[in-house]
Amino acid sequence: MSTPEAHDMDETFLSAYLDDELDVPTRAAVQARIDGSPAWEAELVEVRAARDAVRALPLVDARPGFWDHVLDGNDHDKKGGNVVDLGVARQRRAWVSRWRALAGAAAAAVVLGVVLVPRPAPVDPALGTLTQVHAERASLGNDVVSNLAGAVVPAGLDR
Amino acid sequence: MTEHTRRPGVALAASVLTMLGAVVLATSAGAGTPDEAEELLTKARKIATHESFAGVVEVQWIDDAGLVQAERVGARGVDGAFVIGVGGRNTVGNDDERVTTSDDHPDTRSKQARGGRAPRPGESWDLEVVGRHHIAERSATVVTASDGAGRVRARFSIDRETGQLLRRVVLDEHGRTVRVVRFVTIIAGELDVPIPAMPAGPDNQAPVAIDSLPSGFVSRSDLGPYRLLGEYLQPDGAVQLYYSDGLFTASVFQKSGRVDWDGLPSGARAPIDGLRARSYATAAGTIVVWGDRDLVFTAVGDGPPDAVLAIVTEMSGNASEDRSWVDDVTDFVLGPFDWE
Repeated sequence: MSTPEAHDMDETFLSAYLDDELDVPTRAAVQARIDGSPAWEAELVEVRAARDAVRALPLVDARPGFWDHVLDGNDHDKKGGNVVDLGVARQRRAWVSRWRALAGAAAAAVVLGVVLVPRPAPVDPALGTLTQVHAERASLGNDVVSNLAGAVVPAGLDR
Repeated sequence: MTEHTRRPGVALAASVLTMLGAVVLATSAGAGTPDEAEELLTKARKIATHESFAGVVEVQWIDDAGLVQAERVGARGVDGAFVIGVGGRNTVGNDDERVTTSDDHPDTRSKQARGGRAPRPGESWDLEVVGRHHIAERSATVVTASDGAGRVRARFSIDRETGQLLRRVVLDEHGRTVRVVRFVTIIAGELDVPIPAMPAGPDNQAPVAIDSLPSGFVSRSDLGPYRLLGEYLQPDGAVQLYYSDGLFTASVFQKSGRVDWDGLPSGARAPIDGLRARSYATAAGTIVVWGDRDLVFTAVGDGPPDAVLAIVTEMSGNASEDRSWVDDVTDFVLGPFDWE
């Protein structure tokens, strides 16, 4: 284990320090950090107190069948539990998050498309006027009565 | 001058059958050749702007509900100037100009402009002189126009003395009369009747003939039997394509945008080749409105209704074959807000 620099060390080194799990150079480095830092010294006190509190708890016997249940994770229907592979679960959650993000983006794109893409302006043709315009043109060089008589009849087409 | 009636379609059918019977009885007078029929129709095109006349014209049509509508209109002309009107709406004209004024409608103005020559009346129709009868107490020659399947789609009654068109009957593909314009009374010859002066107005009210369409608009040189005779820019920026098949005329108006279906009168649904369209049966003819590629189209035609509806297909083709996935997605997303 290479000796960590002071800025690489975190609180996990304090637990290892208390459990005497560090090699000599690392232990020396942690000790130097504790000696030079009141914050680290205070942290050491807290970690030690927590460690001692947990170790002071009484031992409890496992309920009957507990270890069978733990060791037989596939039989969760009968035993009411399930062994969860945290790595797989984390990966699955990541996929779900990704798909949710994609679906949200797609929905947003559709909404933006509807709202932002310019749609042609609505047109309500003036049918009576267009009929009149056509009849006038049709009557030029043509029979005026049969072409115009119908066009002057009110049709109630223009609002 | 105004009379507006509503009665069952039987009445119109009966009156047409009666007149048809008179024609059949008169057929013994001798049927004419197609050339004679065409000559009569060609002459009738211009006679009303050369002869003097005064009369009452009745327009009958079957509306979108299948009911017969009828309206009477006054018409008179002296030496090329004429006025046709009912109520507060009148069209005044001379050889090469028309102005329509109305109490409840924007005024419109049209001037003779350059354009293609109208096809011969017999170019798309089989014409035949089938007999004689009387219209408004005047002797008339009856000419029929039949389509390629031999179905009579129009009857024209032409004054034997003056050559003026006295009646025009348009039939649908089943042989039913859908529109009639006829003189109820008419006086012809030397007349001294007042014709209003042409109303003054700015020239920019009139459509302007154009050689090429503005970007984004579409044109077709032919729409089935209809031939393109002119392209015009309307004062409001809309484009008008004007067509004729020799007997009937049609205009296709285009404007950028999408159809505001809720703003349109109800009319009749007319889905054509995957396109949503709405049609209207009026005294002047058939109107069809549809949208395609960010353009709003309005076709107006005085021919048989099926011929006017066919313009949609000729103009826009089979729209479903030319749609992108963007169109499909847009329709899916926006469809619920634009439903008919």
